[in-house]
Amino acid sequence: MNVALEVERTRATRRTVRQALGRAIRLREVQLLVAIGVVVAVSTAAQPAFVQPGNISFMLADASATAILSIGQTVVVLARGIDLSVAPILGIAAVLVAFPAQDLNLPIIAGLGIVLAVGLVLGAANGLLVSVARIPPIIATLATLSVYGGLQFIFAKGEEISNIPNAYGNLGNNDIVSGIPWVLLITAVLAIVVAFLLRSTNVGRSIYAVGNDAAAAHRSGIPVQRIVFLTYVVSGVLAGIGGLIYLCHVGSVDSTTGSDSNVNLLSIAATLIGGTALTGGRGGVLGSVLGAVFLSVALTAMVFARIPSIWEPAGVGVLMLLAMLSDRRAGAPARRTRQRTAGSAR
Amino acid sequence: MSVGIRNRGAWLRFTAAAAVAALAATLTATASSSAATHSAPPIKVAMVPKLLGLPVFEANVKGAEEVAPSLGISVKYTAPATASAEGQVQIFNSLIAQKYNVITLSSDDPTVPAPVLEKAMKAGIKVITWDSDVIPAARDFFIQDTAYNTIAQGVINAAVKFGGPAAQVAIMSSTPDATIQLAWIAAMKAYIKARYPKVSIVTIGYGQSVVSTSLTQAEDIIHSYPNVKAILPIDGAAVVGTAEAVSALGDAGKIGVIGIGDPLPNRKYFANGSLQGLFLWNEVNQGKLIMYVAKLAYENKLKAGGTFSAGSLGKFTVAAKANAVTGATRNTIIFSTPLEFTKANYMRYDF
Repeated sequence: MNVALEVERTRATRRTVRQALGRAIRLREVQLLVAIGVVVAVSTAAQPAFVQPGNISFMLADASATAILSIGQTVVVLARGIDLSVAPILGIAAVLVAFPAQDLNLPIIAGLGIVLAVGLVLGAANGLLVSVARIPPIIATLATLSVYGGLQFIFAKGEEISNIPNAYGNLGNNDIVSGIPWVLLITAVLAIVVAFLLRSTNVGRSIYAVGNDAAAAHRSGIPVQRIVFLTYVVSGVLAGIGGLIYLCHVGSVDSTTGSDSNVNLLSIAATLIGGTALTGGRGGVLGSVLGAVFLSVALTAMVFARIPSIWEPAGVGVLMLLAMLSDRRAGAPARRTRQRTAGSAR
Repeated sequence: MSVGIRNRGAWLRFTAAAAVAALAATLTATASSSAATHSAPPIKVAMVPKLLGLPVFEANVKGAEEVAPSLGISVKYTAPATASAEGQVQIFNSLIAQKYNVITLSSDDPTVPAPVLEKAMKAGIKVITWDSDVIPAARDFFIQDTAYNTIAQGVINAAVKFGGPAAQVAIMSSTPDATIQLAWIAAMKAYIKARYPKVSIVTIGYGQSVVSTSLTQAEDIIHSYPNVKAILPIDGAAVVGTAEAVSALGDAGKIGVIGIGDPLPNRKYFANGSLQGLFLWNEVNQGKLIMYVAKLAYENKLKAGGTFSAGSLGKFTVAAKANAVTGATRNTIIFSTPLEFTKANYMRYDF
């Protein structure tokens, strides 16, 4: 009797452990950590220099601007939108800080004020177009990509601004401890704050609800358009901060910065690789940050593997495709249709 | 230099920017038609660089404007807002309509403007390219910045001076299809083979004419090739990115950076010791030469294979046929031997 109960309990525990383990393995964050570990291990085996602190620090710093942009991108995508204008927002923010930094020795904290304002205004413009004017996000932000890109040219006057005070470069390139750059700390703090807001506040959960099913969210009293507006503001502000981080890390900026290095593609790639569904409602920002780190590590590994850099854009594309293929739930619309049928049956 | 230093913006073909370019073209067109009413009719010469706002082109214009009055030239400076070949075509059309005598240009594309330039030549307008050529049939003369072999020799000599005659070096280029960068790389390889056979080129990185990509590439090269003694960036963005990489990694002075580019955007790196040398030509004097060639071409005094004198700049030759070593094509005038910028003289140049 007792023995039978004991056996049953053990079985139950084993089942729970197995389920928990199964869930963890399916978690995109865990998959990414494993993938990063594999790339690092293979590269190190081939060339031990791969894990020298300088290289680790560089890969993490290089991932930071993309990671910060992808945090904002993730918030937008979770609400079933997309923001194609993050590249020129990053560029405009960086340009508008770079001029006073070069000419007036503007302190970084004042620069932060500028990029927050730039991100707020440009993000709000995107938000209005999508939530008030009801233009589909892909068209609205494609249009502002063009408009902001033109503005960036006008602001930069076709110049290259490169004589930035050392304080910026120190923030963008120095380590807290060997191998861990300051900009990674900033990225991590931003990611944790946004992750907390998404998970633990009404507004955060509303973003998921809107992405899952906007009509249902509306019926349950969520101010859908206000939530959608907010996601673009968040994305704009984070793209602005990304601009400041970019400026600190790269040390110069010009009229095509951001667009020229494809940060739009990279931010979306990091978001998708991080496990956020393009169809909204599923995913999170921690995955996106890991996605950005994974991209940076994988692209650096390509250089260490002596693969010519011509292959880099192809590498990004292949990683995106692999991320989609490895996500069995990527066909989310099917799931949603089922839900809707179930709903109507009720 | 064409695809390198001067195509910052080639990727930006946004509608908004195009609208700005069109507007700029219209405005300048209106402005110039009112400016060209002189008593003794001057030679009307237009200067159309790849885009507005680049220090190297501004320096060209400065030189041109210095000598133009003494040559009886009224010079008009106009260009698209981004490096857009289509934008240049619109400008050429308006210049033909205004009956300019000479059009000079640094082309955004070798073929796109060819039809409109041929139309200009049929209308009796002399067409002179400088810096970046079009196909030879679409222009009368081409002013090449410098001979491929001499600038390559300058860079390699400086690299050897820094890293020794058996140095491992890496090259940072722009894109894998950039004509001039490819020609420079070939010239560097040939010179190394002939003169410093122990120097080895370990890799060639491509920064895509983007500073952040060049930075990433250069840092990766430094980490994955620990014995590299010098990196040779041969494109404007590559110079900035490479010098930033070396200075960010604390390798200033340990890894040499010697390249091809203009000193103004790189003052910070000369000052902090991460950049040892740059090669280019005197952009102001090049602007002057463009005006001399414009005048002589207008007066039909330039002949293939002949020589001519350009005031204080000295004597020049018009190459009659293509030369693979220097890079000259038909009717090419090679402007100068390269100018070397170092920590000692970089502050004297504002381009």
